[in-house]
Amino acid sequence: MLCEVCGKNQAFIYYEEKVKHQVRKIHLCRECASKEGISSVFAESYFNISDIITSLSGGVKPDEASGKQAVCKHCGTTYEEFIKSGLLGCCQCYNYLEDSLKPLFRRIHGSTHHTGKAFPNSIKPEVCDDELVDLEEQLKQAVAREEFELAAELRDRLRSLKNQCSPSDLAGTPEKRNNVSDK
Amino acid sequence: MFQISDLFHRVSGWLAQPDKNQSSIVISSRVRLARNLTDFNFTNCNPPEKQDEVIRLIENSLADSKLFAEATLWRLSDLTSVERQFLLERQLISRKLVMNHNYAAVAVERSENFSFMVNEEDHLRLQTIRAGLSLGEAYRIIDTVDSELGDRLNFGFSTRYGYLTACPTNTGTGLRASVMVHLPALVKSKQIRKILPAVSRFNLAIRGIFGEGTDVMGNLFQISNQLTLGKNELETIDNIEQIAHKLIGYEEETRVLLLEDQKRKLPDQIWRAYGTLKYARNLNLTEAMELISLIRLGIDLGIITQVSYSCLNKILLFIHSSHLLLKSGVGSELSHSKVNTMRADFMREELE
Repeated sequence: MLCEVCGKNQAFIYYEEKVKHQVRKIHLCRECASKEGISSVFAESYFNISDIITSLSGGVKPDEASGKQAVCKHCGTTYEEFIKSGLLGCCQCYNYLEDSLKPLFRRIHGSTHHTGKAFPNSIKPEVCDDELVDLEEQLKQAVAREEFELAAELRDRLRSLKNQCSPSDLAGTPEKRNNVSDK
Repeated sequence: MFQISDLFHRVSGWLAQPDKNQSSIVISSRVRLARNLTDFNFTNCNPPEKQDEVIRLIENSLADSKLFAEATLWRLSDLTSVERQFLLERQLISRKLVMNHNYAAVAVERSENFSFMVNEEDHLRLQTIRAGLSLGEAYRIIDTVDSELGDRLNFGFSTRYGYLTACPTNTGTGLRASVMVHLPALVKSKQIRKILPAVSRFNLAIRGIFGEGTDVMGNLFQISNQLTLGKNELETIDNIEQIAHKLIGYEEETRVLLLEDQKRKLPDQIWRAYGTLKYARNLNLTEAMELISLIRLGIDLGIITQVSYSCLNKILLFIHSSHLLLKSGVGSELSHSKVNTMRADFMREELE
């Protein structure tokens, strides 16, 4: 078998990777393998993650009905370019391409909400309303489909989010402290 | 400040002190975080002069910090290609960073307790590696580094999506946690074919390097998380540790069965591997990795007592070509056959 990268030399390494139920396989010769760092015990993934994005986004077509192309007004990255490269252009892409990205997040992660470490300088509660509505809708649908395990998980997340957004939590932010002292 | 040449003769800090309480089946635990500066486009859309600015900004943020007092930042453009390959073999940088070597940098803490790449796919990729199964400890270290940098830099973060990354597969925690496991018995007994699909069902990715034939090169596998959004850091780490414990259990059970089944054959194979490594005059990387795997199994089973884990870990690092070259003071690449001779020479010295 010939190397699948250069197509010239005899393949000597067979590299296999399983991601999200997809198995990717490639045969490489010694030279190409070492060029790609695969000969190292600690080699990183050979496959570009954009392959996965492209395959996962197969069903996600933005603004198809309106015929408009989603584009980031800050860096100019279009949704189409993103699908090709698998990479966004800047932090603002998350705002400008949000409608197209949301279904993708659901497919990749099964979620559209961060629950881990928070960057200390960010303001916490502003998007809670939006999140609450979204979660309530998902909960309703889960109950309708009788997916009770998922429903229970959503209910718990809803509960913790409601706690996060409650006025007691806001007491920590400067504006709220001012309000309290005004009274 | 220290020089890259300070690393040429020594083993990475984490490899030098393997935790004796841990099972030797898990070789290492690695955690990395992806972060971006909110005022710059992501690396793929960031013009060269702005990429330089990112490096300068990050370099400045290292000053006046106790945590970073022992860290040094190197621009990849100031290093030779063998030195870059050396850092790659040592897992301090990635292939992607090497591809962007004109505008990329890496900061390394003196004992390699943590390191970070600048201008990889994301502006910052922080990482730490520990010996054995210690993802929790690895995360604690990198979390501290992240917080210290976060005090000085403005990271892209949204309350909804978490840390904003160039690729949506990292959005959220930006965390990729992985363990490197050595599973020779599961490979030998072909049980691995049943286990791999089961692991990927837990939203984890499993990678192996296959040499000629169907056996995995060195019987080493890497298991890592795939989800970064909707699961917090500790849940993610816990998920991998649970699977790692399961794999350790399966591997240990299979070793007992294998040794019963191959009472004479297995020790013979292990001793032959030892003999070959100790006396060979020409060794390629694949063969060396396979022999090392057998010797590691031999130590685990109490068959080989002449070789320590720390010696084996040193070998595992220094069998790579740039390590061999730089250790011997050779600054440029040599032919495969010359490197194979150097590898065999090194092995004989170590096993003397």
